[in-house]
Amino acid sequence: MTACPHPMAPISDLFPVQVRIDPRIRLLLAMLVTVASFALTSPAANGALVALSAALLIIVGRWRVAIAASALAIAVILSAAGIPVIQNRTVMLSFAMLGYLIQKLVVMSMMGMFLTTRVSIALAVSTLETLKAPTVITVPLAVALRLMPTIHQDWRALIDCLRIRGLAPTPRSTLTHPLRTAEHLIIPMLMRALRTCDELASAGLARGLDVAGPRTILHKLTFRPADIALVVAVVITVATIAVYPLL
Amino acid sequence: MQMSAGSVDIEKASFRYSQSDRLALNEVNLSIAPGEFILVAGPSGCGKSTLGSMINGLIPHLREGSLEGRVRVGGVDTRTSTIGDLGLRVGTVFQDPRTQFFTLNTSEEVAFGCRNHGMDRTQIAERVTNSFAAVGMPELAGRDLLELSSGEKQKVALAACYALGPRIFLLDEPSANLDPAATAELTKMLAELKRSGATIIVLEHRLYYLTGLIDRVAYLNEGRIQTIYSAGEFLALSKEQLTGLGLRGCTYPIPLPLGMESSTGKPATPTGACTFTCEGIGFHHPTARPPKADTASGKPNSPGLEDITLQVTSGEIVGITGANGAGKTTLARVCAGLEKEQAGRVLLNGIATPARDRLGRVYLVVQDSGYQLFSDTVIGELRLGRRKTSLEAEASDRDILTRLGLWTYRDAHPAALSRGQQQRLTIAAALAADASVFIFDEPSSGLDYRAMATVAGLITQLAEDGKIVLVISHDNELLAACCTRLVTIDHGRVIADAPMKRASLQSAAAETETS
Repeated sequence: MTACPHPMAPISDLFPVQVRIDPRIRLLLAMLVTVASFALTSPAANGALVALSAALLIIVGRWRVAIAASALAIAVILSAAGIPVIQNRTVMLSFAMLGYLIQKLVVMSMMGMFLTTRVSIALAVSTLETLKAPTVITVPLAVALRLMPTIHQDWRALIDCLRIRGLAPTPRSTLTHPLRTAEHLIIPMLMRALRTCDELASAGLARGLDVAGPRTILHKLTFRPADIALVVAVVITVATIAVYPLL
Repeated sequence: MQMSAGSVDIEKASFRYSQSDRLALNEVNLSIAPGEFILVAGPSGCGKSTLGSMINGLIPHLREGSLEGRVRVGGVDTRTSTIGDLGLRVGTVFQDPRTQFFTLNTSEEVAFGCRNHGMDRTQIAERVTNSFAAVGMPELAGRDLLELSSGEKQKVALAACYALGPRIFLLDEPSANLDPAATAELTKMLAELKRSGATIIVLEHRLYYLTGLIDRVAYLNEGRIQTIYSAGEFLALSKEQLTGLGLRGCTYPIPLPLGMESSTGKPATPTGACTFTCEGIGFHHPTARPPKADTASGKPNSPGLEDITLQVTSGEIVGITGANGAGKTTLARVCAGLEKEQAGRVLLNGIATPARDRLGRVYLVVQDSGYQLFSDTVIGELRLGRRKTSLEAEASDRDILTRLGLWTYRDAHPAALSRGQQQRLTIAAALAADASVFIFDEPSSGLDYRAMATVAGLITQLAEDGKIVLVISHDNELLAACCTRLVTIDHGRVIADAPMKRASLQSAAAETETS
């Protein structure tokens, strides 16, 4: 509408990177903490990594999830104290294993959330492109993520049609007539998906999806001092957790 | 070169799809000058979409088949060009907005094409801003695509084409999903585009909203361009002549004939009449966010219902109209038992019927009725869900299929039927399941005159057989043709409910017989 006074102004307005912590930094940190949680197995290290993950989640604004996940991890640590009391070796080992897995899972889930919080599909694609990921990864990823809401809508419309016809799958019908249920659900979904893909391909090609040559990255990612500071802090923390028992 | 950027030259072009033994287009000649506004009209299956695909390069680059003749777009032969390159010359707005978007955000969507062509970021930002301005909606930038109304999605689709700077715009049935208000907006937008000097090609069934814009009309029939009319010649065609060509009317609004106090209101009611009653129905989607009333365009996605009271007797055909987002579809879903009413009750023949028991008895025929078919044969469709077969059931199936003109197709696969036949098969299945109330959701969207007349005939026949029929539609031609009463809904409330005189739809009955 109105001409922009500053040539660079509209870019920050149109495609702003409005996330705390650069997504590339997030990817790096998520990998670092997850690898550390599998490499370091002592209870103290586990506890420290849970605390670190929670702190990172709070930084990106997900403090509620951070508290809930930490509470789960603490509950597991506390109940771990009771495990050696169990007489039966098999049961004891099973419980110990379960506790161990839950703790790893808590750290991994928190880091997954840290990675994706407020990162849109487009920003994720821009991040991968900035990291020079090949088009064979970025385009299918973008399309797959884009298709999810459509598939969800199609699924709901299909279930409605089946309900109207009195053919909606119930737990019982799924058990007694698994093939028929699959036929009513899978074939129509595939037919719709085929049509959607065909139309989407037409629309995409008409707008240059297969044009050779580099594609413009929509979001300009820049490291800020806070990003660097966070990386340094996390690396030092993880190193301390790893080295401390050796001292 | 600059002069020819907006031109299209089609010389003796024929196309045959690879699975078909019939030419979809047969020796088509069409020359479109820069800045011209061309309407391509013709009955369903006449080759409109094929012609569109020829112009935007999907033929020969994506669709499989054999192309003969020559197609030049902006001076470039489509054979020697690529789809991507042609996309810079022709912007295509496809029919279904759901499947033409690649992102979930409006600005990113408009930037998508520019990004693929490797434009620099400053240029992209400029083009995105200009494109939203060009469709008259700068405030559409940066919005969530899934939250937009159909009209807004259409604008984003057009802006996305505009951003690539083509001189030719191709629109495939752009009004199919729009309500009258959004259609009026579309007319304004196209007028603006025409004023800017762009060449515009519209493939359409509904004509009324384009009459002030067209320069020429290409009438396609059975794969051939039969006549090319000048605007004056085309607009001078009488209603009868248009009907003869299988085209919709050129005038709007088709006045919906309300009134006739004495004789309507009580249509011929068969003995043992059924009734369908909504008593003070209230409904709100549990997940619906509070409606953003302050933004004029921000319609809530799932409107609620407030105190809807409605009584319908068998033999009546009640048209339900209202803007997109007024609550028509929500009302249909509640009536059909897909949603449970939160206030009030629904009665079938005077007996309160909970949502679960309404499923299938109050039968919702969805827009794309092919989606409601699940068997591998036509006759099997009527037997689905039936626990055991009996001789009476067999006889009744035969009777239903014969009445709907489907008996000869009884062993065919439902997917092999035409769209109109699929719609009739959906109704046949409902009749076999003993449904007494039929709710049609936009049954005529995307249909040409004949198919629309056939639907009107089918609906009338259902009512004459003693069924209760409700028709949700924006299509005044259809409503005028079959409804005996018109209910208008706005913001989830009934704001008008009046008897209606049925307009005579020429040859509607005859067409029903023949098809």
